[in-house]
Amino acid sequence: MSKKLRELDFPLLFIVLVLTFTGILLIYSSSPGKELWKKQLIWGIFSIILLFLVLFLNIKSIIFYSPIFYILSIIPLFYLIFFGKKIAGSKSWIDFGYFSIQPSEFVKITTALFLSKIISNFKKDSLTFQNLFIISIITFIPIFLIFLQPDYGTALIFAFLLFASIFIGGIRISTVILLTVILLISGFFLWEYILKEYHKSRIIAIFFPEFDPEGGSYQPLQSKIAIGSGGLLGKGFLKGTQTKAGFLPASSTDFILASAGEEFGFLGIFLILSLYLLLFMRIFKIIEDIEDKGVLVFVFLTFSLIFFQFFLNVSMVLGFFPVIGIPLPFLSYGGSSLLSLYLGIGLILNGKIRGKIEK
Amino acid sequence: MRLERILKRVRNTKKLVLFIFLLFLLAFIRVQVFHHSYYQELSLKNITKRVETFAPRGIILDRNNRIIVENRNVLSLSLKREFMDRRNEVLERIEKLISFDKNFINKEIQRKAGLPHFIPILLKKGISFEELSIIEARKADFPEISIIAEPVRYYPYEGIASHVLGYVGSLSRDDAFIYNDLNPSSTIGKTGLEKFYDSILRGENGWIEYFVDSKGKILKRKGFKPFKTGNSLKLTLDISLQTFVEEQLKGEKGAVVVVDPRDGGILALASSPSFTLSLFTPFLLYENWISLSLNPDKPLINRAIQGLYSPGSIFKIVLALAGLQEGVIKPEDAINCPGYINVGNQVYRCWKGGGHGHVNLYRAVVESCNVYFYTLGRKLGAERIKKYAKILGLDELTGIDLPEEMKGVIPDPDWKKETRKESWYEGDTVILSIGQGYIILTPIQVASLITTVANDGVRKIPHLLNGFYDQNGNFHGIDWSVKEKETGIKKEFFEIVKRCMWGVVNDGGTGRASMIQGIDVCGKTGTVEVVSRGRAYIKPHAWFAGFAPLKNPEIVVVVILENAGKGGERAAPIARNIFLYYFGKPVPSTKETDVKTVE
Repeated sequence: MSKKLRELDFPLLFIVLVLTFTGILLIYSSSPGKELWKKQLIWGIFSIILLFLVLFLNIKSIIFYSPIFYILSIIPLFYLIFFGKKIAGSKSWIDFGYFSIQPSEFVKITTALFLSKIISNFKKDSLTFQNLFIISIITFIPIFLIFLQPDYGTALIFAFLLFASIFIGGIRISTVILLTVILLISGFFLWEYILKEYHKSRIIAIFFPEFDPEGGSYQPLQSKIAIGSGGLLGKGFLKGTQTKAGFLPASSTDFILASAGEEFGFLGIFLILSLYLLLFMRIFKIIEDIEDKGVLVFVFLTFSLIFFQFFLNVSMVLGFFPVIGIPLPFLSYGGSSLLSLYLGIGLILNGKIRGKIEK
Repeated sequence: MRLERILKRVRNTKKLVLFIFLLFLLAFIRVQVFHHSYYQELSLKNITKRVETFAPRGIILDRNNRIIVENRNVLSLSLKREFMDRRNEVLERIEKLISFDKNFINKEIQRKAGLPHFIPILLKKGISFEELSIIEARKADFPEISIIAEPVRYYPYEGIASHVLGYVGSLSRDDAFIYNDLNPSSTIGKTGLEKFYDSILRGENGWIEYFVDSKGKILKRKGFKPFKTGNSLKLTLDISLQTFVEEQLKGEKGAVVVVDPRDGGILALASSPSFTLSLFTPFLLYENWISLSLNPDKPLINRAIQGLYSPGSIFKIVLALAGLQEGVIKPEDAINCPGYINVGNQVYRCWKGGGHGHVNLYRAVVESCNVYFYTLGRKLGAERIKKYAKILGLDELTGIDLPEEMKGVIPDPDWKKETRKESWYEGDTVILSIGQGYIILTPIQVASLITTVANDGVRKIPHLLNGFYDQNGNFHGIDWSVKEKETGIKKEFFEIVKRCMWGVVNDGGTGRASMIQGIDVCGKTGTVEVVSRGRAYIKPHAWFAGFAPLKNPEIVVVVILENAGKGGERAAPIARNIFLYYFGKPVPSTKETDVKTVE
């Protein structure tokens, strides 16, 4: 194990820890009078423990048994549909009294594991229709269940996961065209029959922000006010008025980056973005050394999961994307999200250690 | 699937990631660096709430510094604006405890529709102590409600001088265009002195700025600008004389004007029937407004400055001055009064059937001989009569410092052609000569005329404001004498007319009911026949206009009573009482209506 420990990627671990610590600091500042930061700290400790526990297992075996994990993790989603209690408008959490768990966060990882097992076993360099069908089924089951909760943000991440799977599996132009047609048709049905009025108003607000200032575009506007008023150097730690006076919505969760932008300015944003860039570049570096196809695909899909959440959250905070409920990885308050991220990072670290093909 | 293929795709992704980071960086630079000041301003606007603090209006004092208008705090119930959407539910709950005027609330909501969200909606202005304790006891049940104290007008001399003082009210939609710098919930003067001197009385509102959270809750005070209390008016009015005058008018329709001729300062100005200003505080109830405005006696009209009456024989003063100045008559020249004159095929009678015989100017004024003035008027002609009416200031507003003043009419051929589309007949001149026909004047105009006579031809502006005290208590007197005018009529002619007016009261004339032992009261009576509508006989309007004493006059009194009877019988006794009161003599307790005079 000591030999393995030497192969542990300390830079990646370090970046993740710094991000988590930054998150706790921002949560402290953005939730005055509440003890959210303490909870996040405790979640952080558990997450680190989980990360190290994961290192003891062999990632190749985990990928091998991934269908079992996948099925096991889907069960709570069914439970939620039938027995879940609505918290903040959706049945996403299982309440354990002292804490609650969001099962869909872990399904992200199990789905990524299952997908990497399937994709790495495909024979051809690009996906066949049959391949496409299989990975679509694997992702659409959780998408459907999560959509019913309803938690559109997480469902969207799964849709991106499918997209990443198709990308890494390879695709032909003809398939792309066919998929586009399917997407357009399903998009039409989504807009006409499934999306509620307030979703539409949010989507409309991205394209026409001057529409209805207190309605759909209120949150993005307040977010931009927070960021913009921060200026170059920010208003200072604990001095963000948008955050403190409650104008910024979800300032400890989805809009934590806006809160950071207000208090630490562009400088703070630049540092935070740099940390993420380092994180992603480090993962790319790790990928280069991996020889096992399954591990490689898994690391890529986990990277995709983190990157999509990052990308959508930042877009949302900047007002480029509708407010749909996607936390910023590592920074936003939320135990399940943090645990699942650390699980993913733990598996990536594991992949770095065990990803070589033993000769 | 080959490993190299997968790695190639990963490397492409890396480029995409780098590109997206670059875009994000640019986006943040745009918002945080280039648009910083714009968002900075929005962020400040978010957390700052400015509440206007209303300056109390200045108080109003009479000439002896007695307070006649002041402020008292009234408590009002208001709904915090953040609970606007729940107002019906909140009202329903409170309605079980105290009553509300739905009309008032709806208007208030309309009025405040476009205003910032932290300005509360008034639910009930002026709650009683009982209502206050009911609400206070259940404060926890009504987090939506706040109680605010604001200064409202209070009148220590309730019901006195209401027309002069005028009432205040909140800005109406139309007012808002004129006072566009004012907060829509400001109080402004609507009538009377409150309106005329609104800018002096109003003061300057201050404000307090608070830091607030997104729900409108106040976090802490940011800064403030103190309000400036309005200046206080000091009037020429004598509130005890005013009270006395209003008692004299009780039960009558009419007006009284009392002026100090030495400076034009008004000592009393009353109109009857009157109303009480406390009806307007804290605000006028709808039913009160209806009963005031629909009352056929029109209590809201200030008859002293808005009432238009034919001056009747009072106008003979103008004729006398014109005749003397123009040299048309000499005081000693006598004219024979056979009791009537013929003009064309029309007969114009004197009030005395058998005629006055030969009368000179003195006797003609004292006995109010119509034929003498018919003759004089015909000699002067309508244009010259109008010229002198003009010189004496009767063809214009007197300039009294009240916003409602109306202007009378001095007819002449041009006027008749323009307004009536008829030509002027000799008969028009004849009846104009005794102040009847088309001519109409307000009591204040008549008072101004008598003031000019008392001053031997110096026209003074009748006024109510003596000066004002600023916030530091410094007094700023108003010099009204700068507006004085000379009529250009010789002083000796005024002496003659004044002598005649002395005779009216003291030499067996029509105004003998105003005679007071030891004081040379001078005056002129007037009895104006009113065109009866239908068959019923309507009593004439009774005028008395005079001053005292003859030498160095101190007080001008003008009385008009609508449909009361003869001037000498009805108006003169009231004037006498006012003179008695002014000179500190005992006033008889009952009105002397048994004095027999004829005119």
